[in-house]
Amino acid sequence: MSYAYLFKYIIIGDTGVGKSCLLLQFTDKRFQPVHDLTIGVEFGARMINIEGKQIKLQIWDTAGQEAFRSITRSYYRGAAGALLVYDITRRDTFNHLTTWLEDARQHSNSNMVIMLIGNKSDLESRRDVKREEGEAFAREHGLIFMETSAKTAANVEEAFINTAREIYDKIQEGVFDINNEANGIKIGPQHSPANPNMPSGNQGGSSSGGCC
Amino acid sequence: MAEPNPAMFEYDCEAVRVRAKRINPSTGTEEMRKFSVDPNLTSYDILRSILGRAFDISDQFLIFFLSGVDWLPLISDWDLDIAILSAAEPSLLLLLSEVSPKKLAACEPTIISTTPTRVRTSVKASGSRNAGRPPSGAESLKERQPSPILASLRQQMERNLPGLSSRLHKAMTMAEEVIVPKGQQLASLFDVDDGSQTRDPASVSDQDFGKFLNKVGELSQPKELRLAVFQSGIEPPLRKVLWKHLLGVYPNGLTGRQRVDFIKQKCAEYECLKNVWMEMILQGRVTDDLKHITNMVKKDVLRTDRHAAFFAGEGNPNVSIMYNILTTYALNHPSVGYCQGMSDLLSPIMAVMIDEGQAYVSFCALMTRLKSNFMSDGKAMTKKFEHLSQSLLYYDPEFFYYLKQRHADDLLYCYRWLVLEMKREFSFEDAFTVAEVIWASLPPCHANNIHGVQLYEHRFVPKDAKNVVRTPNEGAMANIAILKKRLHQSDSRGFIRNRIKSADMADDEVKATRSPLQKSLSLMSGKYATNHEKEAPDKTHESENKDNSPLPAKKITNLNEFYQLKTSVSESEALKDVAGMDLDDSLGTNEALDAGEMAGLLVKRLPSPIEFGDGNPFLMFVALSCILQHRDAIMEQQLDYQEIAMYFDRLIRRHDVKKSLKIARVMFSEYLNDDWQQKKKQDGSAMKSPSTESPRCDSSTKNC
Repeated sequence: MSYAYLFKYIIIGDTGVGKSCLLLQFTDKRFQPVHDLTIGVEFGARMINIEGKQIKLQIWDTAGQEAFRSITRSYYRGAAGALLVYDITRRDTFNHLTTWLEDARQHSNSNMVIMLIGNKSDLESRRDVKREEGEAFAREHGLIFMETSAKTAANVEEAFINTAREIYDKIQEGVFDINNEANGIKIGPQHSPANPNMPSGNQGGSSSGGCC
Repeated sequence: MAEPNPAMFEYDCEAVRVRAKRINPSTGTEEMRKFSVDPNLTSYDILRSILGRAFDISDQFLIFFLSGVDWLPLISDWDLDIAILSAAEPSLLLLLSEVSPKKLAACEPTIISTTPTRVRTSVKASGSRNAGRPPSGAESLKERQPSPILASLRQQMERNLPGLSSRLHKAMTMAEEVIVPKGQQLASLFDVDDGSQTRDPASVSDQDFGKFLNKVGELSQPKELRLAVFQSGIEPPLRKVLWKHLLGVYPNGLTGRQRVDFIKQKCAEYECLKNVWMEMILQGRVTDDLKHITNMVKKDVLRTDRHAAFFAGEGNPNVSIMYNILTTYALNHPSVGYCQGMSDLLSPIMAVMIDEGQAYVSFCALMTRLKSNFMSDGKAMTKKFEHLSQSLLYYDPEFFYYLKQRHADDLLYCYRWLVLEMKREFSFEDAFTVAEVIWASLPPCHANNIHGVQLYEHRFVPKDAKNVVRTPNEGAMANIAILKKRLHQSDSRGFIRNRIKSADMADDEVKATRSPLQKSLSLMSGKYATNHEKEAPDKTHESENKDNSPLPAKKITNLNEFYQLKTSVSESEALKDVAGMDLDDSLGTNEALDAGEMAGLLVKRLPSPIEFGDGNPFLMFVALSCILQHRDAIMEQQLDYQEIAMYFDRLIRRHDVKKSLKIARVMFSEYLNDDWQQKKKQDGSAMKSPSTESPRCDSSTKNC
């Protein structure tokens, strides 16, 4: 399928907050109560639609443990959006947000859109972090905020799509340099103004070939 | 925990083969189960429990054993000793008679390794995304037709660079043609998916194992044992015995009885190590560090291989056992602590060992070699990526170039493969085979292994806050970014030279080691320099690529020779032949390259067996095999970086074990057939400790 834009996302946050489950819910619309722990990084993709434009999201789901954080670092740079996830039932995961954020800000391009996500909102009875606290943190650091449940799918679509909308708006405003792939944004093959040499036999759906 | 020896006798042998027959009272049909038990660790009660589970029947049965021509009742430990002593060779024959058949016992598969019926049950991948797009992984290279552009590129390469592009094809063709005739029965085993009794006739059995032992039960032919396992794996019931040998648990030269004592002593030692922190928890003296580790471990054991019967179900005790083992390991190994991935490495060991203490001991032995994968300096992982990338370029420049064009040549999506030594890429049960074949490909522990496995590098002491956990650090992926950069940078040789220089410096540091951590890190970085310094320059490279096809018989000899290989090409020499890693990014815009450009990319020679894969060359070939089986599919579909990564993610637990190992074995054999042996003569006995074993033996944490 052809697309107008391709956005690259990265999902970060402490181990066990539900990063992989959010991705699975978003890409496959299903929930796996016991998900393999992520070693290094895993990958997902989905097409969404914003203002009639097809946008392909490429998502990097990273391991949460500190030992793997450095790989996360090297890929902030190529990401247009980041989902920073904590678990509303575990305060420590909320307390670590500052570290994650510093890390993200330090290694990403300055325009990267960051969405703060308080996940596991279905576990209201075990809530350890108030919604207001999440909102306050987001306000203070200029992030978008949502509470989600990868289990019930509540707000999962919205989290990914709102992030994309924000990036899209920034593109319209001319904030992003869309010709620099390091910003995590790519123009679709058909939409590229200067791409006369499309690889032959390409039925679309592939973003490869013309990159340089 | 050390199981008390309930039997009257001590046996020199570690495994007794058992064949048990049961007449199904409802259908009247005969059922047969075969397994092995360790006579020194198996009591009457344990045997009953094994049998109950093997036939999936309740406890209401009587056991009879065949003594001469008579069936005698087996109702006590005493009878069990008589049964074993009078067992008709080669098996102890048992007959089960059910008193009153009851409802099947709940499935608590704690003896999966001794129930052959379960072992081949396929496990469907549950975590794969986009399951609607199954990869065409099973298709062979030959069956797929490359796209016209690629075909012409291939033709062009073959015209201009004869011999180079054919390497891959040759290896693949050999994999198909050479191995298959030998492994026809083997093929039938791997196709079995219905839980029937078929076993791999070629895999190593306890009878085979007996041939490698001398009269007192000492493993007198460790290399031959490894060779046999490398070729065909191990019969599931014998894994518990053989894995300990392969992992280097035992010191050299122990008799069967001594090995039993050794394991008992180690298991007792484990109990002590475990009790230290468990008591802290019971007494409510939980330090932050202990809490930190237990929290991390708890989270991960709850999501490790829970699809596998051994770990499945709410409240499965094996999950708690995994928690105990990992916590004990982390606290007693402050240089590495707990890292994600360890639970994956432990789970097959637990499923095979069953016994908690033995699982810990075996895990420590495995981690002695694999600890470096988790080290914060990232050196081991960087090296593995570097070598995988090099070898891909060496065997399949066309595909490498395809990846290069898409910036996918960093192979980051193979991170999990390398860190877990492919464990998660195969089904849970297939991963056992892959693991043992990989372990068997490594040389046996060298003569310095006088202490056997060490269970701690720094004994955990409750009140000493200093050595509890390592500080959070950059982790094992730290240098991956450097690797990525390196593949794209212009002067790779300068980089290599610098690496060698820093390795030399690290070697000096070895002499002035302080803490175990420092020592271990220095040794890791210093080992290359140590090799380098002791070796005569290698001058045997001139005649490359003599395309004389090696015969299978010769290959096996070569692996044996690899075990003995006491020397290596120094890193500098090996890398001297790596031409043109300075790939120009601008090339990436061209769909087809001319031969000159292609030649600039080619690697003329791979690192020596000592260096390759950072001490595990065969792992590189298993990974290569898993990549190359899909290269045509990837190229045909013109997949980009993300799509390639997702393609391989979908193959988690679904790679074809038979085919992957087959191809890997052939490629490895061909690689070993190179002239590495000539270097052996040059150096003779010059090499002492820095043999292939040095990274594994990890003298930094031992007294040896």
